[in-house]
Amino acid sequence: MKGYAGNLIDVDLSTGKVKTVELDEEMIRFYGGRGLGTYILWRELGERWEEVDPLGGENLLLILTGPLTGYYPGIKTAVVSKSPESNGVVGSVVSSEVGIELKSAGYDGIIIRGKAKEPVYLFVNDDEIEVRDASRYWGMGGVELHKALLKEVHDELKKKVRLRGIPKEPAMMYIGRGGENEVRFAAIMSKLMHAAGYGGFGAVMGSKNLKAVLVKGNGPLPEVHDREKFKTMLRGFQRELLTLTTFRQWGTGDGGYSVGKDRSSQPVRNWQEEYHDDERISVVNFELKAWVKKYWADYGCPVNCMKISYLRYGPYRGAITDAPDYELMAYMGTNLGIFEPEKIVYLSYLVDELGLDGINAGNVLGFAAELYQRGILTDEDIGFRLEWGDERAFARLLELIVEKKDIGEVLAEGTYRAAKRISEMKGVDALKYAVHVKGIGVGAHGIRSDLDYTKDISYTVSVQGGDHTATAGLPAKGYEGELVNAFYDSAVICMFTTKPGFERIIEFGNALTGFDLTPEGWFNGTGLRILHLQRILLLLGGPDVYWTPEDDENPPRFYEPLPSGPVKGKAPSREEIRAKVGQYYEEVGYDEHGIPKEGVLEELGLGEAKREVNRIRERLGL
Amino acid sequence: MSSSMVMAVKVTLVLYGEHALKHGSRLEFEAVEGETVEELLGELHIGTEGHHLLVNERKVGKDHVLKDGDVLKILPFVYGG
Repeated sequence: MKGYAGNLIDVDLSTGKVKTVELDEEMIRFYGGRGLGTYILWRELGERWEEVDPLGGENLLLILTGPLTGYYPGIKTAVVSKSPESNGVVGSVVSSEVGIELKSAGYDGIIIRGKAKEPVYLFVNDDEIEVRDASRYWGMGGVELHKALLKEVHDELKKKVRLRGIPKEPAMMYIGRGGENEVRFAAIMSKLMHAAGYGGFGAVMGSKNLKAVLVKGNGPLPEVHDREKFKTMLRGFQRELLTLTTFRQWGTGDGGYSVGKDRSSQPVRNWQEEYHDDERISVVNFELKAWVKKYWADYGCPVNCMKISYLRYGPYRGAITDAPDYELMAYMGTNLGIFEPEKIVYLSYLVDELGLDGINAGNVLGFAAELYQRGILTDEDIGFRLEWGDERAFARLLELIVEKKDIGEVLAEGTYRAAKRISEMKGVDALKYAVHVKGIGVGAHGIRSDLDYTKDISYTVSVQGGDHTATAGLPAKGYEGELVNAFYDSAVICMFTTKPGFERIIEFGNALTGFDLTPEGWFNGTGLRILHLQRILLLLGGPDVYWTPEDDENPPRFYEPLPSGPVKGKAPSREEIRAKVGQYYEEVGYDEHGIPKEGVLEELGLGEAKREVNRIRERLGL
Repeated sequence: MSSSMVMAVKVTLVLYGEHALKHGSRLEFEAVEGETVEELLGELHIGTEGHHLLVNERKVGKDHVLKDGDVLKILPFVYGG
């Protein structure tokens, strides 16, 4: 088994027991990362999926690597669990050295089960695996936690290896107050500003009373199958990635202005518009006003897409974040009617410190502000005025959400669940202002203009709903389909480093593992197996939310014609979307209701999952 | 038809972002026989850097010769984020 370490750590927080389990052949049929996680969840919980509370002790939190972790340029770690947002499986990928440290320690991942009685953190130092008390660190944000917990563990390591020089600090993933208080869109954070956002796994980690995971591996990475080919390909990839000059210069920040201006697909004031021509949000203004470090990359990454923003003056002095990237420029900016760099840096810093997914946080804030604009939520409901562009009001609302106080308690449930509750409270249909797909707030790329990579059915049929990094498309087995995204998430690599192309990255994986996987093999075998299993678990859902085939649909807002910009008036047609959804079902092997066909499951070696399919059919009365 | 005659090759072009804004996101294009991806894009003043050049959903080089019925997609390397 080349390229893999061959072992998983299995921690039960209820009992404090730790063991290691071998990675078996069945698991490797799912490659790694998102795929492997989906399989483990199904194997352990599939039979009673609907009853498993995502925020209960029974749910599993999986921190996983893929076969490419540590070898491919860049560093990512996958977090997979039953999502408290979608109630299906979401694979969320975060920039964190936890993955490579795990592999150097001899593990492909960690299975975390149960629930600790008191706050704890997990510390892995090669084969020493300990569950330790974390009550002192509970309530801390990223900045404080790095100065306290990370420093303390690092000091401890320095003493242990005194004769071998100073060791590099351990890698850490942690939650902020959002996760501790089980806000449904809380993220698992890493290095102040990186987040495993989609899925809401900060809440899962918080529900287990797990504050942080620290990992230090001191060994070499696992042996690879074809050393020469691996080295040659790696050198080529590194050279190619160095030529991503726009990205190197501006990161994704270029999008803050250009996605709205040129593509008309940027959320503005809760997606009421998708076009803007406000140059204040131009990336050069971020460089002038906030950047203190222009080139920053995680371990092994030649791209350098991150830019460090730090405010040295003004009311928000001390705020630190990366860039922010395009998604948060949009969701902490334009979606809230904010166009000034300092304000966007401040709000991005705030969501990082609170440990929230900035996309879903911005989605719910924009949703609340639109309800306020329409008079559905009032000063009395919120406790203060919530006008577009007022960053202080949005900051106050974030605090209420994290504390789950007043209206914050409702909004902490995420846009979809909050919309349902507000509809009941106010006797209105608030769902028409909720821009989500299957409980997950849609990423900052709209579909209406047809100018972006997100189009018609990008979100409707994706097994990860509104996740803009897991979008679907036609042809289903093509470059823009969710199968290719599922490959990147299962190999566990960054989508920003995929310039060499899907085909060559698969070949690179083969050089590491000795597999003879081909793009066709992925589209019709491994990848499809992952997709079908994720689809089944999504349709099973429960215990509080269930989806039907009618939910393979865009948010109502996406059918309203665009009110401004060069493609003003444009909107997709529902009939066309329905037809494309049908075509998609057919291409991936779902029946007319979007349920995986039994024959296809048999072919994929997932015959056992027919048990779950029968339960879906029963619930839907089919 | 004599083999020396130049045949028209019908290609569907799929564009994104500002290129789509300028030319439309999907357009039919008549190329001449033996025309490469780079030559065709040159006519529209679109560079080959910065994009995955996909013909029928497979990555190709800029010297790839287009055939009748091909779908050529100019997908930017970096999207999302």
